[in-house]
Amino acid sequence: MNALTSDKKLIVYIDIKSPYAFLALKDTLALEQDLNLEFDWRPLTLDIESYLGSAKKSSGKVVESNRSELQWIMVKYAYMDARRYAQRQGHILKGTEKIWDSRLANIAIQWVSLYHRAHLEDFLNEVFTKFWRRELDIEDPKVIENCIELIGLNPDGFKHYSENEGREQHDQLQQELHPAGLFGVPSYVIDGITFFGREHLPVIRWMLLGKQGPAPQISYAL
Amino acid sequence: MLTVYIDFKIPDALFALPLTMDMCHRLNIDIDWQPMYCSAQETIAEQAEESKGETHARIKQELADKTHTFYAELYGIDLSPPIEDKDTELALACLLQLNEKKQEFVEACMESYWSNGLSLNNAQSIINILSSLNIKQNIDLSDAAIKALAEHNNNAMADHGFLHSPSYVLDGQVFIGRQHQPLIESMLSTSPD
Repeated sequence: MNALTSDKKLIVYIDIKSPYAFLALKDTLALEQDLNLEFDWRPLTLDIESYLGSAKKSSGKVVESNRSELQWIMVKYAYMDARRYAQRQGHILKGTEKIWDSRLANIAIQWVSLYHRAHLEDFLNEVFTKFWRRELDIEDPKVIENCIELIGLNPDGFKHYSENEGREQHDQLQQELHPAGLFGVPSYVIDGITFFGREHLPVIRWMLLGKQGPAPQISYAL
Repeated sequence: MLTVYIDFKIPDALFALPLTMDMCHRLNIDIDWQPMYCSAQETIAEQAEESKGETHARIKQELADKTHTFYAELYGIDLSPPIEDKDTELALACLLQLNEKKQEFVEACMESYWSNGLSLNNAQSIINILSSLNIKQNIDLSDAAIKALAEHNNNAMADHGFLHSPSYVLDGQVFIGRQHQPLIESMLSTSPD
């Protein structure tokens, strides 16, 4: 799999543990539906600790941290910003208490996308919404299998996939991301051009519709 | 009143200026222009041995540069000002002191920097801009003014947390980037003031 090419018109990179990916979900899914297209949804499993330090909270208090003051300021702004938009989307967004290992959940997105494409929207909504309410232990295979069942799918085969070819495909793709210039989520790749952030969805829509009319400005939808 | 923090050398501030002015004109809202000195967003050279964090920072900056170029081409904007000294400290120090025609000064600085290739870190350039706007106020362009700008930056960061250019402050909320304009406009439209 090449990180920048697809047989679909748009590649969408997401990670369940990113609040910005969560916020992008609604408008990206709406765009897919509006234009009657299928996007190529792929995991970009963030290594947050490598660029934003790490921290652990317990009962709302920081109990471990190696973040600099600037990193904390940026994290706090990011969550404040994400919360105000989540609220407008009708979602609850609770800050995570640790940096989760999201590989399994992201491999599940890969699996649903590959074998049950018609159910992908339901699965994304199921896992993202519950995770950001702190109702989902995304590191527990049984929890992920339960999410698969909840959207009406049989999870048989997922365990084997997640431990074998699914894991291999996921890990191989992650190795290709930095060299391809991909580092964060949500990222969108269209016509070989990469955009980072949901604020670019207006111009992505414009490009998908053949660049008719004046080019739009970047903006977050309300 | 909408407070907007700005640094003339940041491409996102250039993109944001007409949008912000247009919005505030439509809604009849005054803008309080404030300087926010930012480090230049320069391309980071690839190192032979990089940590993951360093690679992340480098490709993030590379994509930001590409994205600026993409939108500049889309809107017919030239993002290559022919300026040797790309710093903007002196103009920002001047903006901090101005008590009249701040918007005109902001527009003139943007035009001078991005279109006319004038340094905004040169006292004569700043004096010329002030003169062209018929601003008679006595402005300090000494090292003390630069020090005051640094203090202003620190105070703004302490008051609002993280800020960049452009940043908007409305009803105590901070918004970094012009992508927030629909929400800002919605808040301004429903504000009792």
